[in-house]
Amino acid sequence: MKLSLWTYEGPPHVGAMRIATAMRDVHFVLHAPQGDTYADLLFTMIERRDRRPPVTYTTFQARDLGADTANLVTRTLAEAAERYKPQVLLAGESCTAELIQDQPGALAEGMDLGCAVIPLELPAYSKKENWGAAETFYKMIRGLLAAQAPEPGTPMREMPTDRRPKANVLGPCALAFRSRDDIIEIERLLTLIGVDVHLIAPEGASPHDLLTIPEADFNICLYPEVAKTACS
Amino acid sequence: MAANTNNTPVAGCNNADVLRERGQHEVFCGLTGIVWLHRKMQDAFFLVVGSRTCAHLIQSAAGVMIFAEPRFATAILDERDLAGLADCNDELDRVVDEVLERRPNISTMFLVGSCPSEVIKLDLGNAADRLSERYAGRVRILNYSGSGIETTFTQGEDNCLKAMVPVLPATPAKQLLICGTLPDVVEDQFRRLFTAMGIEDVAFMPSRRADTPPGVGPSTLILLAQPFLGATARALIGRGAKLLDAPYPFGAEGTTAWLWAAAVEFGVSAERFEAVVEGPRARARKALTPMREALAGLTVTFLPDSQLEVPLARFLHAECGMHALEVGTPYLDRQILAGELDALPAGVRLSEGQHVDRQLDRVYADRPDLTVCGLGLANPLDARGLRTKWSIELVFSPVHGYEQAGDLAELFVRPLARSDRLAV
Repeated sequence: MKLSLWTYEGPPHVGAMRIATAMRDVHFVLHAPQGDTYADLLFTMIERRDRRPPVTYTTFQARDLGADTANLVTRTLAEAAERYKPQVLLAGESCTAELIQDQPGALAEGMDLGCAVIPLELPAYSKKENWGAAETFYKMIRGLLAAQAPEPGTPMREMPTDRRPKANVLGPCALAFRSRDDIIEIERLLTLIGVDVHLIAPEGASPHDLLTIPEADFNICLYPEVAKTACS
Repeated sequence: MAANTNNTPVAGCNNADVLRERGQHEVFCGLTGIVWLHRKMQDAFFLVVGSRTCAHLIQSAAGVMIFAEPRFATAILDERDLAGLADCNDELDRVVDEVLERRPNISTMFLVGSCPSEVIKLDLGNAADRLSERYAGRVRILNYSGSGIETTFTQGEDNCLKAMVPVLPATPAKQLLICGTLPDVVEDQFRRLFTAMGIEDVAFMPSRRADTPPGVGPSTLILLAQPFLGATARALIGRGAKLLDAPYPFGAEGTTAWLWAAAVEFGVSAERFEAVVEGPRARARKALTPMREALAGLTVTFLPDSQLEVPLARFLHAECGMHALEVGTPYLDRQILAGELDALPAGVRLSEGQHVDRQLDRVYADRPDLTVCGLGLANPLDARGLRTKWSIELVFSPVHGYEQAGDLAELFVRPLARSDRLAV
């Protein structure tokens, strides 16, 4: 038990929300009690986004605990997939749901939701927000690109000589500090040195866009706190 | 006369069907009440026993900037506590010692239960008793739950006040006990009005200092200032007090009816009552006149948030001429809302609980002129061309009583005026 008078970093599921919110065509089903929806206002008020974060909460209550919370999870997953029709559905849990061990990720994988499912494990009692963001971005890239991964030991691709090199800028995401301004500046600097930006992710990218990550020649890990796990 | 101010239609909303929904609730949990409770009780400390999420909630929801030592904190459970490697009770004692050592001016500490502490069945009641013994004579330790699995937003205050009921001193005196956190300035206004009527023994709960709580007894009359204190009222009734049946003191007429409910019990004559309220009521009506011009005929929908929805819809309907389309509330406590429900016109869609996606579908279909909603929903609704009022302002602004009636209505006028100005 640790006394906390003030904390700047939230729990890891807020990090996962930052990735989901930054991207397009992603939906996040979060097994969480009433009250955890407070995190929505971080995006709509503090960041002044004009749409709700793509997150559906199961909102379980005390009276559900004796009954069947797993059922509530599957019902919420099915409804969210049907309503939002995402390319990728993330399934995870907040601190209290972790204790009741319904394993929403495994439940989601076992359902036919009509979209790719990426289960998240977000250990709320040992990790924090940035870890959750980095882990989610990594899980998303790994889940989508595992099939394209080169064999270990494959030599690095040669830099092209017939065109300008292309870079992915990885790390900008929702609720980041000044990242919108940073993107503008980085793009300008890259252009000056003759590099094209292939993809910025997760901010503004869809899961389909992530599939094109290997088309770029190299990655720029702009915010290690979000992208380092994925880049390495 | 004053008692008949809310021209009660017999077939009011009370008899209407209520739409009950289960789904995603876009509301805060009861921990959020700490934000205003700690400001009101200046010698109280709130220690949430919970997770990092709880700590993050309180600071984000409140948007509080801390420049000095705050009077709330979170004892964050970690892996060692959950795995049983650390004894949660020993750990809690250590954290409480740490806080109290730093804060010698604290007279009352609340151990506030959260979702994780409830789920792991950490017995905070027991812990409060144990620690009260250890700090006997110096700090009183109480406990309540603000967990999201059991409470919504303002229910946290209800649970907090209820936790104080057993330790209130007994008093045989005939007194008026006004329950619900009010800004000090509003408290003073009400006290002056009651004093002018000859009601001298007026107490407020919570009081400004937790170490000087009001008394309670068989001659105590409870007047609720907030429509979410059902459990507190029932606990006070358990100690012999009597709950007065009244609407809530919003607007000129609502305030009059609320004051009259108490005046009648203390034998205040209609003439004396009238003489006391005449001036402030006239000021309130005057302040409301231009607001009514701006609001009359417009439609409003309340999304569930603070439990203030039903009384405020009544106020906007009866005193500002607005038409309520849907009034959503986290839960409906009919015992403490009876008068308010009767005063809502038939035909208002009353909803309890929430399925936020479906409720927003209804908002998009209804397109009310104004939607009163939480901070998570306001900007997205504005982006769709709807005008919104942040419901949390109604909790944090002084809105009760005559002198605030105009300000209360103005809170609803402001987003409309703003969007008119932007439209030019």
